[in-house]
Amino acid sequence: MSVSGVALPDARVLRYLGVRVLQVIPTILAIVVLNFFFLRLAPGDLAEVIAGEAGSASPEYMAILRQQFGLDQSIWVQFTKYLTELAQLNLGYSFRNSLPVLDLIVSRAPNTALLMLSSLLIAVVLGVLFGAISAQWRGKWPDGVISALSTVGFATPLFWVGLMLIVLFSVELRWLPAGGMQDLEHSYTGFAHMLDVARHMVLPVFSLAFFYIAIYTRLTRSAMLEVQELDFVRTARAKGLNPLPVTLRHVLRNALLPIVTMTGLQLGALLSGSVVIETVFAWPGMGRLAFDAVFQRDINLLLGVLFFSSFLVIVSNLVTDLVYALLDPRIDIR
Amino acid sequence: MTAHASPAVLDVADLTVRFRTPTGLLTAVDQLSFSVSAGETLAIVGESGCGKSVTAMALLRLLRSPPAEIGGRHVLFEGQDLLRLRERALRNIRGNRIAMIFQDPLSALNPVLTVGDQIIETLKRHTGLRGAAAHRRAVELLDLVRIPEPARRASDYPHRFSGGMRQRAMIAIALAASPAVLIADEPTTALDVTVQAQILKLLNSLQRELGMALILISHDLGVVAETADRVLVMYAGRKVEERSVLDLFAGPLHPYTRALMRARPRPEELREFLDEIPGIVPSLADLPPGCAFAPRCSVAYEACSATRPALLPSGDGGAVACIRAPLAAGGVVA
Repeated sequence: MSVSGVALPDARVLRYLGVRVLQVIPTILAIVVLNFFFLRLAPGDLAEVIAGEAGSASPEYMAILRQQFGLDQSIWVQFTKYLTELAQLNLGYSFRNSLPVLDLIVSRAPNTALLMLSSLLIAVVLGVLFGAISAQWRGKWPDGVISALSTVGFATPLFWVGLMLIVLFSVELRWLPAGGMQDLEHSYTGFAHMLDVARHMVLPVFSLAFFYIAIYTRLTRSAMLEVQELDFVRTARAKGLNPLPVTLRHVLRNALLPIVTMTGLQLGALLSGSVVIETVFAWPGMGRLAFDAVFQRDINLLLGVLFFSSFLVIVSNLVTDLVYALLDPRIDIR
Repeated sequence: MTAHASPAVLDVADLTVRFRTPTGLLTAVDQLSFSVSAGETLAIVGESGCGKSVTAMALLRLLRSPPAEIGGRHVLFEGQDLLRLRERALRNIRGNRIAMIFQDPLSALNPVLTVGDQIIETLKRHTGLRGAAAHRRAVELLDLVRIPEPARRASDYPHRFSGGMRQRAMIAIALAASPAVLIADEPTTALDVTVQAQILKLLNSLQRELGMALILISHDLGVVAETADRVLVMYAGRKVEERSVLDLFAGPLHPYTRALMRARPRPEELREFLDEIPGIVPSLADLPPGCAFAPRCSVAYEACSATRPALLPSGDGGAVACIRAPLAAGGVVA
């Protein structure tokens, strides 16, 4: 009936957000420093890669390239320069792609977001559904089947799932495209374009979701079994409520709390999972961008992608906290 | 059997509850019979583990089965045998004609639903009330259980209520559908002493106003003396004595009842130590063959351990299960 406890007062939320953003600054700074120095540990640099491709790796040519890219300066000068530019929200220039890093990220990020959010949505919906069924029929055959499948899902590597799905649905059955984001032979527009992208999405989204469906299934099952034993569920049954309202309103509603926490924490892992999936399915997203940047020693681009990703994870954790406060009235935002 | 002329609203005959455990079958309640009439308060008293809470839960078949197995001759209520009623029909009685409140009001309410919503849930399930009318009724019920500012409090979550307030809210939920029988399982045990008295007073006055039968489960003889009309004393899953409250306190017949009374703090007679009952409650897994209390009893002799004593009428409308009872009674009354 009443939603007064759910509607959060704006001033308090804003103050809370302000405090949280201030807390985030040292975290971001640490991430930036670690990224910068760790990436220098990898042998080779962009000049070597480009010179190698050109086939004329003379010391003079490489020295010119290094001077051009700013790689001839000391690491401290490079670091100071990087920090100053970052403070102005300038992520630098990708010499490899001849484009500003930010432009590259902005062009790829929506594709990754599409992949990740679709996978996450499917994983949460199916995982919670399977977990709820499993908990409700604990020890019966549906629980057995779901538990067995989720163990398989839990133990199977992402890339293998992707490859097997390609073998089955693209190679053998020829139902779905094996990779890419759109049909290269036709250029569809409007609704046909959406349909085309959707067809290309099916396999990568399910490959990525596979593991997470298993995680959410197990999490939901154990959370629901735990909540089922609590006193207020007994109260709900003593009220004469039917089993479905007891499960949905009382058990599941409370079991969702740990699931929300887990979802927030896993966004980072999901991002790294999408690097694998984007590589397997030639999906033009940020994961692919990072993957290519590693092999091309395109440090500026890689730093940009990593910075952007960590920023996303931090923001998603913040959103998780807010959602949690919405779901659990006992948590006061301060 | 009772001094009350009104017919029984709930009649329990030979109720037996067993639990299937890895080590064997435990009998938690053994052929328990009692009845309660409208407007009457029956107290069921005993130490922890004597089966009184299991009895309360078994009446509405709220125990999970397995492991619990509920049997007996009948539990008659409004012409229906609750032991043989189908689950669906039983749900129409739970929270509607027979309601229950529990020991720990802190955990008996769902933390993520407002108190008002939890009352409305019962109203929607068992009465025709919906929407604004249901909300109005919920506020009335909170007012009935003497919660100040009921309209505002209805939209609060349980964590904003004190322990006593939560138990009042639980009572409001229980009374929502105007039940004929209210089962209160240790309703004041988790509360402060001053709050205990308030809740008992409230229960008593509500019972008078609404003409309900009240089954009060308690281990506290002080609570029982103030509230009950009739008292049933349980030991190791069996009824050992049942008397009107005046008769019982004037002259307890069973040695166990007398021991319980001596173990009770009495303000008129300050002592450094309370009397305790020697020994421990026997394990339900290996009850002695005769009287279950015999090993701890101060007046037991060989015959006590030979056969299980039958319930005998005590002459004042009560009953006692002790072969030494007449002798013991003489000692106390004189």
